[in-house]
Amino acid sequence: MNDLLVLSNVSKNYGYGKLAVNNVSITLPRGKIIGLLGPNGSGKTTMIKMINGLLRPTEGEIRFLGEEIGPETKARISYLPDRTYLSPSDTISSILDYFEDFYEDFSRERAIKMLEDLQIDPRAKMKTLSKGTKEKVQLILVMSRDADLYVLDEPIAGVDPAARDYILRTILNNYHQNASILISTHLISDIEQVLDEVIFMRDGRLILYGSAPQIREQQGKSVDAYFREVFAC
Amino acid sequence: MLGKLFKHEFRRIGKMACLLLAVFFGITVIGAIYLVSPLFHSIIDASSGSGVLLTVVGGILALIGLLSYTLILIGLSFGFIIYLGFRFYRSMYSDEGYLTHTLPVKSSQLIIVKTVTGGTWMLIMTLALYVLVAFLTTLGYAQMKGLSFFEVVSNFRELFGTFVGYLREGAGFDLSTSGILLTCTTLISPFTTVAILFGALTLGQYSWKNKGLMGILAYIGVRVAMTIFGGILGLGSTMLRASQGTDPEVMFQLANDRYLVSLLAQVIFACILFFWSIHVVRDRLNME
Repeated sequence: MNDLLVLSNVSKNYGYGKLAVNNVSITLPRGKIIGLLGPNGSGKTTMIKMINGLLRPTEGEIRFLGEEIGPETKARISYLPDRTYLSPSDTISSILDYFEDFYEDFSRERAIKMLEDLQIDPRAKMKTLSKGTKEKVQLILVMSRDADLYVLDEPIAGVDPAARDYILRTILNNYHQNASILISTHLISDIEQVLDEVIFMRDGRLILYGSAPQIREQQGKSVDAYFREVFAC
Repeated sequence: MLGKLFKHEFRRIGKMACLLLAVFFGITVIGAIYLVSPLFHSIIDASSGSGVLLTVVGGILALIGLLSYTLILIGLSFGFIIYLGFRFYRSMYSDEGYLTHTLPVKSSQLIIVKTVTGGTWMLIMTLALYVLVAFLTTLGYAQMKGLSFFEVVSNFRELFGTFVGYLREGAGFDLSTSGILLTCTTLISPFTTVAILFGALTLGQYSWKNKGLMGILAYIGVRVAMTIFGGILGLGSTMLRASQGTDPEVMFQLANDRYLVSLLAQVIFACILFFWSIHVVRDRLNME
């Protein structure tokens, strides 16, 4: 089965009028790095949360490898949220134990190797780390899994340019070719070179889904430049 | 996965619970040192002698000590309930919920594990409190009577029998029903308290803003509703007992009835909120 994730007529209404996601239908294949792009409030994070079971769609259906979102799909989707979701009082080592216990596809060796590369002490408590280091630790945890889909919500937003390179390298080096990566970001120019496909969202609607090289060829400009043109204020 | 969830949750809550148990133990040891100290003995001696001033001062000191001990224990117990609520909210509906709800486990398992673990630790703490308070009371009694601690313990059965006999024959109180009720409350109440607290915090998720605050208000609302419900539920028994007179025995039975009704109301509310929490987390989760 090449279809990894299928969203059918998915809408999300938070209850105060406006639809955060409006009738989105999309099918994501295996083996691709897909950029989920759009300005603030376009519905990217809401869509990501629905894919991970943190929000229930008001309408429509989401299926991952043919299954509804639930424990089975969560075992195969590796999710990096746009916030720190680890307890400040925990040590990195205890968090590794936690991931090892719950995710069968988690590789402790891979995580330790990446922590060593970044000279992060596994005995350190989360509350002692800087914001950037916390984000790196979370990315290491997420990318140390052999998941079928990696969903990364703004993975490079809060870190310096040098760290961005490391993060992108980490992403590229740690996923297998059968898996896909869905990355939400504003910083398109930083990740454009690695994207296979792009999704543009505005006001909760899907306005474009296509291959990145094709967009560059058809529009005669980079995806970043095209994005700026489409979403010009 | 259920076992792993229990393991991690039990450890996490256990850190705070063990800390509080250590504090319980510590202040009980301080209380015990006071009871065997010359100061306490001088108070006992003075109260049977002529030192009026020392008796008054000593009595006040003893009262303050006892009051402080009780207040600290009650405060710590409430503190633990607040900690459980805070921990539940943070791990389920705050940032840490992003990890909790993306674990490959059923939503119902999350609620079951958190309720059972919280309830179990509360039960352990309650039992520890019983033991420590019993220890201190026994020690105090032994010191006052000039007996050794172990003499009192070995005579406990006889003393307790005398006490129960006095209540039954002297005042017409049968403590067996109260004993059963106390045992049931001790075993059930920690779990119902936790289920009601977690359920109320989950109810707060229905609010658009200030969900934590709304959870606290929901908890207060649930407690009020539970009291009213208990009052209505117990109305029949109150009227029945009232028609039987106002003897102490009838009043004692009425107190037992009220106690039972309050426990029943707690169980009913806890069950409703427990299943409601599972429903919300499974079908209506909204991590905004």
